Amino acid sequence: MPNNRTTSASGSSRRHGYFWVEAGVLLVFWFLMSGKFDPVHIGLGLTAVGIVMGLQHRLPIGPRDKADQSLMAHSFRFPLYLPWLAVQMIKATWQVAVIVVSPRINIDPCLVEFRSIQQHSVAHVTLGNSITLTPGTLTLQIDGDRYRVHALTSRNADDLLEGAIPSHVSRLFGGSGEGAVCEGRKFKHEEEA
Amino acid sequence: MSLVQDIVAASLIVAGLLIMLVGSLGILRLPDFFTRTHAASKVDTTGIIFLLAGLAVFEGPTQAMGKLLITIAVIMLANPVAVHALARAAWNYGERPWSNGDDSGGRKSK
Repeated sequence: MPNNRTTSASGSSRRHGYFWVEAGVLLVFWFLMSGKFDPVHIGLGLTAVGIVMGLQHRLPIGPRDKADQSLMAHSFRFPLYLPWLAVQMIKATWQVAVIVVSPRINIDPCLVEFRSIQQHSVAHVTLGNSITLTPGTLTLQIDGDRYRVHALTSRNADDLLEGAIPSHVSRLFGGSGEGAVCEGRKFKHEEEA
Repeated sequence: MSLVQDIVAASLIVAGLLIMLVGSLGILRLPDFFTRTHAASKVDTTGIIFLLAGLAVFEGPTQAMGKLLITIAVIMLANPVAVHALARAAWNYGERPWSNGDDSGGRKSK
């Protein structure tokens, strides 16, 4: 986990270049949203971008170490992730709909714990989100690389532990997908020591 | 504005509303906090996305459609984070999941 952010000379100069990239992206986004190019709107846009850039240097975002650079290099794959996620969400909705509409609610909730090796903390966030939106699973806690997940049925828990989703996220961020699920176990909360 | 466009838009919006109805039903029928969160998170997110997609089709290729598509992407990324924050808060507070043969409705003392 990249916690020790350094402010070395090379780090700040790379940071400096990134400042203009970010300001440019924000300004383009402003024009996309406003769609107007008269002096008033351009002035408002420049002011808004100025205020945001003045405030954002406090936020720990932007490439500051190797892991962050690798994240930036893989960010172009992110739009590919959304359609995959959309398909998972429709499946998940269908499953919950079938459970809710059937006369007798047929669920068997259990908990799942596992460790997942991912390249970057953003990959962990993405995996947590993906688990929440995929069929029958809900991320309860992420502690470093340890996950605790609530599963609606025993079958959903088994599907998660098979590891298709964690390794998909791992590959999305340039990982090998190896170790995406390890030390996995499924249990009922009464059995917890 | 063609007829096909209207039909597709209306179908998506009606589908979104039905999905959200199912989500509400789930919140009422499921036994405990965590299972209800399953209904509230996945189902409502999908419902809103269907609704917004319907509006985007209704708009056609305009600037408003672009804004709606960006809204959809933001909801897909932000909703699960909010749901996770709720679920984690409940877990840390001492809420424990309901399981089959448990009559307490998931309410366990700390």
